[in-house]
Amino acid sequence: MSKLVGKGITKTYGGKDVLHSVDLELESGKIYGMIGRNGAGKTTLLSILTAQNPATKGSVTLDGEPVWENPAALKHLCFSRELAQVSGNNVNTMKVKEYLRIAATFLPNWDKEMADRLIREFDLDVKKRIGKLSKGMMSMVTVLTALASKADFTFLDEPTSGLDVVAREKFYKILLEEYEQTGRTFIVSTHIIEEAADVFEEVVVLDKGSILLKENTQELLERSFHVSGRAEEVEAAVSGLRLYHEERIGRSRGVTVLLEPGEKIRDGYDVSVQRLSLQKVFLALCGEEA
Amino acid sequence: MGMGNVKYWGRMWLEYMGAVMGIALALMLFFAGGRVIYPGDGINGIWKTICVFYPAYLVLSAFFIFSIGTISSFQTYLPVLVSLNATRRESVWGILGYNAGGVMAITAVIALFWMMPSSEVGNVTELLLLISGILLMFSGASVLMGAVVGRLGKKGVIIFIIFCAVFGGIFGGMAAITAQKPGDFLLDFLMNFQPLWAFILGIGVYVLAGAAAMMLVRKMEVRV
Amino acid sequence: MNEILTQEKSIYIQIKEMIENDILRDILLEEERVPSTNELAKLYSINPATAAKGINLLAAEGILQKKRGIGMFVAQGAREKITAKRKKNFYDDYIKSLLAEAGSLGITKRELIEMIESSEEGGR
Repeated sequence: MSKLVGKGITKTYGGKDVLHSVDLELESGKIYGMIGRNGAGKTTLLSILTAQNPATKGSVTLDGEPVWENPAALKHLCFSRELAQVSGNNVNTMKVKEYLRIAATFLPNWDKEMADRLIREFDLDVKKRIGKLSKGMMSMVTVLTALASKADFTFLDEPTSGLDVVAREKFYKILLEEYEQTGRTFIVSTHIIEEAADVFEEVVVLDKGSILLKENTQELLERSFHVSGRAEEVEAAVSGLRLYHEERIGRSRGVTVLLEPGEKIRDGYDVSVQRLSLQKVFLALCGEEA
Repeated sequence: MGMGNVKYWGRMWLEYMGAVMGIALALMLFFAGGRVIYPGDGINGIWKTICVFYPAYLVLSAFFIFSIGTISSFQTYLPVLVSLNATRRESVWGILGYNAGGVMAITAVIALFWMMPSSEVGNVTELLLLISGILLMFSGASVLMGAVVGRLGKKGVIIFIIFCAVFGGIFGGMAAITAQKPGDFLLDFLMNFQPLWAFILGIGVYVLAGAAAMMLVRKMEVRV
Repeated sequence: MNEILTQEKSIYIQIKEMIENDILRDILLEEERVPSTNELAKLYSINPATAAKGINLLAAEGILQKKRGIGMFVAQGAREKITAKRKKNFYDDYIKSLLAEAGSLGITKRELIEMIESSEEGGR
């Protein structure tokens, strides 16, 4: 089993810390989800983990070998970026054909057959310049590159951002199919949380440059509850527990709790205890303080 | 991994060489078409003319193509390559490679033309040393500027423009001091420059520029 | 098995219960092969590890049986096992909340028993 380990990753842009001493260990053979608000540092972290940008402090190693400028390590990695239109220079003037040619040249495990098949399936016009593609097509290029790279650790940054719901469902299916066939490790960052929740075996929550949690998705959901009812009852039922995201209307009150091992919601109080979706857990953790 | 690099930059070298030679031909036909230096010699005269003019236009279009190409290599292509797993080190080597290769190839082509029996160019070796020296210096400058722009982005472009302005200003200033037209001054300057020194200086500038580019690119942010 | 997943329970538990329901309804017969983890993952667009968790729980309870190299099969006596298990949990799963709801509405136990006795068998 391979491990990609980031230790103490700090990144500073213009005097401000964008990532604060982040520690992250990724094991091979899983599908990870990385969720976080815009500006939380997801793209920055992913680009550092894949040696595309240097960390201001800290290290990234693959099975003990540093990844920076190291072709031996790099051949196991692939970072498929969100090709946003905003970019200005760089990719936008390139034709899709050329971009894919570069991918085929530099990604040692490139599967040309798969790439061609996906081009047909997505109906991608490879003669078009990347800057002129629709948002959906740009996402397709991101997805195509990631999948055909056949890299052991494949990172996808917001792969579904330009896709409509039908295309997104298709993406999850393709991803799962590829995972099933090859057992490759995928790390997918997204902020369309709910649909993706079922696909992620583990979820990493990034907020304001720090990792809030990294946990098996199902286990996280099994320890997260929304407790609501009359304010006093709720108070008693959750006393001693860490509370997130409180809501109050009139005499009723609702809170979110994440139970630590050994903790439980006290019995015998007249409260509704409901399970939460991953999206709601995320909102409770990272949403603005009301 | 190394092979991919060679394939990619090798292809770019071929493309640029093709562009240089094609544009040089077009320029020659457009500007000098019809002008025959050796009239009365018939076909031979035309050929001798070409031997003089074509190399000149080659150098001119090389300046043009390779400098713009190098800067866009740093600014556009290098980031994309790095985003697809190329290392910065090997990418800079690739750019240095095709520039050096370009200088060698162009010098070789010029040599080919001048060494033909029907050519009437004298002092071929000296001129070749001079030309390759100048080309190397120019390449070095492009590499350096490319790396600066790649690393500093928009700020780099401004630095580049300032640099050109300063350079042009110095040159114009020197021309004014010697009371000559800049064009004549340039020619004078070139004529009096020792060819061997030009060559050595060219290599020196190129190597330094390459090293500086490596250092600048090390910490370049790739945002594609 | 083609129900939709909800948010109310863990996914692997829903998978488990769906398979149990199908066994009870004779949609899956004893000694028959059960869809593989990958097939389930594909069907529901979920991570195979999640599907595997549900399947493994059923195997641990003796409801499913693994045949090496071939896959998971419905074990003999699975139906009885499931029925017995659900009977045991019936009070927790249904009665408790019934009583709580009745209590908050002021329906007495007497009234509840009357409601049950006057209803059709099987609750239709």
